[in-house]
Amino acid sequence: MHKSKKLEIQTKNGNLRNATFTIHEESHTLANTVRYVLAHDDDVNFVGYSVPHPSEFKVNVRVQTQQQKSSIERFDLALENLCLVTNSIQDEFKNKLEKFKEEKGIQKEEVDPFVISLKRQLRKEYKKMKANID
Amino acid sequence: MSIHVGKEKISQVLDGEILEFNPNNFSENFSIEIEKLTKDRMEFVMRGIEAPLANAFRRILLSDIPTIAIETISIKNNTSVIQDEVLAHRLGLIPINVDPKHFQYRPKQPLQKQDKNSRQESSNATEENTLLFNLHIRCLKKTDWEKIKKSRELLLKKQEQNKEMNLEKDEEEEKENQLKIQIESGSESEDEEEEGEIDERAKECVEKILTQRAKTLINHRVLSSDLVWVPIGNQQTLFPKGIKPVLPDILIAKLNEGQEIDVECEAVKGTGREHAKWCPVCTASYRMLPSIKLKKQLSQKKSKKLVKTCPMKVFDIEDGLLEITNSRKCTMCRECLRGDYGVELGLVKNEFYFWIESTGIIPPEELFQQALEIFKEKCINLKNNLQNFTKKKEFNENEEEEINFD
Repeated sequence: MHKSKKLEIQTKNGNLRNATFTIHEESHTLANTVRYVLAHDDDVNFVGYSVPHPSEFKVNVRVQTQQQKSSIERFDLALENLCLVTNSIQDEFKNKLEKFKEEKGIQKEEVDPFVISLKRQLRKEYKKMKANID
Repeated sequence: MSIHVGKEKISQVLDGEILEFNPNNFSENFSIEIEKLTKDRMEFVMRGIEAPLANAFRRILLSDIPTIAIETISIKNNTSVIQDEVLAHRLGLIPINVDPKHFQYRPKQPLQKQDKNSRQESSNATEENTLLFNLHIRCLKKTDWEKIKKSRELLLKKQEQNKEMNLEKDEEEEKENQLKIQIESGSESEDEEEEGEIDERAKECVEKILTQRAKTLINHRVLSSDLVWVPIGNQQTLFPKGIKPVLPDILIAKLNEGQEIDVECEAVKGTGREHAKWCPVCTASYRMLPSIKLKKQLSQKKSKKLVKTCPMKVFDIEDGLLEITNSRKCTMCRECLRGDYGVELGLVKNEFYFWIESTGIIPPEELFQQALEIFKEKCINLKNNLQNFTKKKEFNENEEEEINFD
């Protein structure tokens, strides 16, 4: 099966100020978050999203920007900001999790058997290599 | 910063503070507090985040994290009362305790005409994307089973004698023995209680039948512990401890004397979006934390009344003064709004009490971290697609007019 397009952009006469982004294989999960970030962007006049039909797995996001600002640029910036935000959430969660585990005295996790067998194989190969060189 | 909960309606407070979203300041205002962490359940509070983000994480936890579950079964024999498709459905819902990151998705075959010799679904099955399980159970009377045991012992003795004399026979008998060895793995079951019986005499009758059944039959309950893993390829070295379902006592089917289930199952990686059996959480949910304020001072009598009316005991009288002690326990029942107590009830827009209940396959703290990773992957994937557009500049023509607010 061929891979279908992820993203389609509709503009009027190539004017990048106002654009409708059709994103395939996405739902409210990403679209609402992007809409929320763009709504707090000062250079964006209008942003909204819709799911054209619940049976079809795609969303439409409409962005209209101020004079001489590209909507694609704003969209790109919004996605970057989202990545930064999730990074800070990840760091905060990791820190708090470690603290909680220390406080409660929970032991460290058991090592994965998959990793153990991999390490064993690597050790064997390393020994072989050493024997060959010597 | 709160949503106002009134007697009959909930309204958003628009005047006053509007929450700004600033990615640079985000980490200053954001905090997580983990309240509870067990093997299966995690509860934590997130402050400084708003509904769209929190909901995105909740949705990803439900639908986008992969797990492994039984997808196709080959039924060699099913003489039980449970229909084939119902049995298949039940087997699919059993959570299997294996980390899905060791496996790949099985590629879906396009619809083609099958050859007579090929098995359609399994021609893509490799050791990297499939797990095989075997379920072979036969329900017998205990007396019959003891007869079979004795005859098996006799056969084994005969086999030893034949080996000494170097005679080759009994290939079929060996197969029968293997069957009996598998059947022997069943355990004696105890009585169960029948639910929802009204009449006591009926209860007694049912209990008699059940105890009789338990005493006279073996394997009359097929449990998830009866699923036996069959390693293929190098899976035995990767999983030396073996693979089994998360819980051993999930009831799959009930058998009566002489009924048999002989089924070969293939387990495959998938996501909750395709079918709920692949969902790694029992549920993942959040609620906003309540904000309770007392607007006016109350007399002693009224304060006592207020403390009584709240079913969750949110209010308490300390040192003669009415105080809000357990605001976390508030369930928004609005009892305190009935009557003139001057209580202002609301929901804080950016404080979320999250809880994640895992099915046991992946621990809940790892689930949340995976959800964050998947969310980042989605954003990065979309970003890369956008950059392709700025290079190629293939735009479609839009019929819509610009929306104006002037």
